[in-house]
Amino acid sequence: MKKILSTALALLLIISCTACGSKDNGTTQQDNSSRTDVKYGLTSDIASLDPVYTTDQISTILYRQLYDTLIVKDKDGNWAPKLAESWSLSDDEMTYTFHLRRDVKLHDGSNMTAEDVAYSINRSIDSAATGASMTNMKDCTVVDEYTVEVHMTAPFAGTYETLSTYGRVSSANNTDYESSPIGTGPYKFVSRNSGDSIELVAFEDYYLGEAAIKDLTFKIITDPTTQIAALQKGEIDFLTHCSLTAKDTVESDSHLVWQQTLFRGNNWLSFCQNKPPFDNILARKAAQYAIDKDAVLVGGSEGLGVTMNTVFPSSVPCSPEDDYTPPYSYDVEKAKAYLEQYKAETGVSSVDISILAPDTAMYLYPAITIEGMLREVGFNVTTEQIDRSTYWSSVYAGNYQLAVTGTSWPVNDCDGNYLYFYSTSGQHYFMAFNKDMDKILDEARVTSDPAARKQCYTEVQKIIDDEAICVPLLQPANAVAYNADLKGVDKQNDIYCHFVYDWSWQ
Amino acid sequence: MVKYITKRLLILIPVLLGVSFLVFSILAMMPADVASVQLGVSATPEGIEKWNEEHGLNDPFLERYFDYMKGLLTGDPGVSWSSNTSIKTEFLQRIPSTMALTAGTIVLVILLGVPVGIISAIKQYSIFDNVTRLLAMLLTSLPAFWLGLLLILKFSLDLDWLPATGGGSVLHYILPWITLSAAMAAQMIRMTRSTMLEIIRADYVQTAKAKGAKPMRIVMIHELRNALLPMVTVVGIILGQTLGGAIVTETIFALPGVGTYLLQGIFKYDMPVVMIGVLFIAAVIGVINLLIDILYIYIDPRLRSQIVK
Repeated sequence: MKKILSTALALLLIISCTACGSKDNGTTQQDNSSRTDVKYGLTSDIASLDPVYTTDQISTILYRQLYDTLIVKDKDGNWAPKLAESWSLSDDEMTYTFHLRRDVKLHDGSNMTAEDVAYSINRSIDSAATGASMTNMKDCTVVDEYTVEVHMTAPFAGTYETLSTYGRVSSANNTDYESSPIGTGPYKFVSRNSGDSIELVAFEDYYLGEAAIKDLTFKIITDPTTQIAALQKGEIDFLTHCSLTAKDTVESDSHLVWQQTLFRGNNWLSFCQNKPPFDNILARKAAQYAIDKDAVLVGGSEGLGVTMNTVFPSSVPCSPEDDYTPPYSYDVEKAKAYLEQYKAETGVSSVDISILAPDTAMYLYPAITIEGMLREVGFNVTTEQIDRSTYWSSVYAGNYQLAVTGTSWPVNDCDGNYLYFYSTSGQHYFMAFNKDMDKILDEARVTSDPAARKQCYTEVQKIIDDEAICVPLLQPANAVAYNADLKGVDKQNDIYCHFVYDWSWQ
Repeated sequence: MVKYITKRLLILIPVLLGVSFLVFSILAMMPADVASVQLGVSATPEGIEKWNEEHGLNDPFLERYFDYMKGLLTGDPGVSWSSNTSIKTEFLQRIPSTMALTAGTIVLVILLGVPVGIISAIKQYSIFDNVTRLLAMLLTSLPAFWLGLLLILKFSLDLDWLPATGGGSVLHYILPWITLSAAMAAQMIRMTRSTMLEIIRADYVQTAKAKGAKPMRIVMIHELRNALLPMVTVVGIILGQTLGGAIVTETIFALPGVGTYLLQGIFKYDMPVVMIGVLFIAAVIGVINLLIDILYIYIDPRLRSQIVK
């Protein structure tokens, strides 16, 4: 017995030594200055190489390298030329005319013409995934070989945003987007190994000159711990959608850079108004006062990010966020009072509610934090966690009481929330059906003056608060991490919008 | 013999059909609205309707099942719902990785498990036996995801001996092999040891000893031969487990195999991907069982005489 015990102890010692062995250097120091390749780590596989197939962020990372757009936003937030060298808007704001560069080559070596541009934009308008975001856009027509016109069904101030997001130009003669996509971007497609990697190579005839990084390999690693290990080991040079819990590890490694930005998206706590108790405004107000947003930030996003007063993040143009004072604050006593009032009015003795949550961290963690807060003011709460597909369909169908939901602003314009708050839109899962709100949302859509639009969205937020439709929660932080020798990475850009074209090794 | 194998292969067909129908029904019964999941947040009702029509989701359940099976049996498992790519191409790309992982694992399990188990049994209660039993217990209790990460931290990051992610060379597979085989090698050791212990006490072994046979001959001819039957059974079970364990191991080491493909299909509610993944695993396990049964016939003369009749 003694023998076994001593052997066991010896083994335990050996294992613990292996586990916490000295870790003086994370990343292996190597000379990167002569390198011309980049290995870009992705956290999941892409959905498609077809530029209108999906709005998914990981696929967007690839689209940005393969396909260029007509215009692009420069560092100061102004519209700058890309495939279009100049453009104009008609006085009735119904027709946009774009004059194209004449020296743009497609990846198959042919010249890019108005034909290709019109074809690509019309495809995007017809697409099931991106079509809904091409707000008020009717079609794109060829005027001459290097001029196109985009026609609207009604004016929309966010049209440049839409075109710079979903107006990705590919060849009109392309038939197979998955195995031979033909774009206009600085990189062209070489090969794809499903679930493992995607290889691109610098396009030698790119109209702005060939990229400094010649070989661009995307590597798919789904496990968060392995991602960081691969980055430290140099198996990848850049990691997108970095897990926030890795912050300390990356920051303590002098060969790596941790670059944290605000996620271009925000979440809110939604009430479904088609069933008790949240069909009654008293119950909704009780929940409004019960939420401590600072605590939700800690519990929901590691304390990284900002709390929100509105459903429009300040990074989105015309957002009222920075000047808006919300009518609600964290006040347990008020919350309890409203809940008592609700109980008295409806005659119920206990208010049983369930929070629906998916298995994705961005929505699950805030939901868990909120469960405790609602219990504290007297709600009888349970959290029901289900798989993400079932979660979203239940929410869209109005089969829930409370849920943390949100948006990621695929098109960077306040009109993005039209989809959720307009009565007849497909994703109106609040079941609030407010006619005044519909009117203002419609008005904001066709207004072009930024100040007037901001006023409209302030009104929208006021209605949301008056009716206690939802509780704005957070704009979480997100991050990328990369090799410190990699230069030219845009410090401000959204994590899925980086252009590898600007990068080089030092 | 040929007749026996043919018969067993024919039995596989209704089994696979049953599995396909069961999995298809479960996926069809999920309460999720598939189209809105695939199209993302900005989908419109018209877009969802169009998607449903294109993917045949408006057809009755049985019609959908028969359409799918018709495609599958003619060699076309269709197009992935979430990624619009040909499943045949993607799936074929992923098979080698999983095959390399499972084959290497099972070789490691046998090479490690059998000899260690035998020595442990022969030298029962020796230090070697005690250490082995303890190690076996430890290895069985280590979860694969934890062991895998530990190995990456030590051998990739700290010592810089082996790559942490991806496939390609034998070096890439060493850590995944160790991770996946740890628990199963332990199982193999324990099984071999207990079987051998039973046999050592059998009358025919005593007889052989009494006749003065050499110890090596006793172990190899008299004991091991008789222990083979239960050991082959364990190898069959372990092979089945490796396919399941492959999902975790492939995820940790970023190996593009069948396991991660299936997992991604489940996350994205991708019916054709889940179907092909599950059917592949079911078919492989079916074939493995058949091979094991054929092996039995070679090992056990009693079974052989039955088949010949």
